[in-house]
Amino acid sequence: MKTLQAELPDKLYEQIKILVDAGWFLDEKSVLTEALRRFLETHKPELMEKFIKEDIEWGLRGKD
Amino acid sequence: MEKTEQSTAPIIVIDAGPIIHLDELGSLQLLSDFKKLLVPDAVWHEIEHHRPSAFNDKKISLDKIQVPQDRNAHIQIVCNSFNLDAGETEAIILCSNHPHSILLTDDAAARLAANALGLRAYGTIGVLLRAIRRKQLTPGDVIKKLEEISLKSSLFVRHSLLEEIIVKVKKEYGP
Repeated sequence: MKTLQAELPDKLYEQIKILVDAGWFLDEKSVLTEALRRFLETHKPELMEKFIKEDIEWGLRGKD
Repeated sequence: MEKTEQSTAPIIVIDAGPIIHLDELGSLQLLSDFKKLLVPDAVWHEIEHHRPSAFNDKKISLDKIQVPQDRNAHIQIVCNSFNLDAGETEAIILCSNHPHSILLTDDAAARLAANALGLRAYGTIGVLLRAIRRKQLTPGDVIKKLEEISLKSSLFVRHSLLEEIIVKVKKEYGP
């Protein structure tokens, strides 16, 4: 396991705390881990590369 | 450069990212080539908050659109499953309400959601490259903009990938 230290905007932290206080997550760490996992699922390098390639195709050879 | 006719230019639904990134690159005027620029209410507020100067460009006409609260449940579920924020969700809904429109977003999750719903989506890089095809900018101008991305804009594209794009432009349009 790695330990990361990060500064969060107050509003974001408040939203995390609401989830924890309401019992949806064990602690703040669990919220951050789940949020990061979900973010990484949709931000895979190969996926972002695919989108750029679609941009190139449309940009240079698109019809509209 | 001479501008091409707008007959083939699509209606665009735009997310905050491309407006902010194009403004950072001094290229917001490229959006004037599209038939219509629809900005969902939530995206409008994001821009007001993060990049109000983008509204100062009088060469482009942005239409602020109120997205109905009575929303298609399937689209809402897809947006939720990709954890899209309010602006991205409204942009997807608006795009789905306008057949043949294109969503402009630089958010990977929003593009995934758009793909899942059968919507066309492109980003800032696509708009810059399109400017060559539409004769809005010369290939040299666009290469300069691509080189400035990491210096002037908050758009993150892997450096080597940007290099690849520049090589491709040079190869297709000459040095």
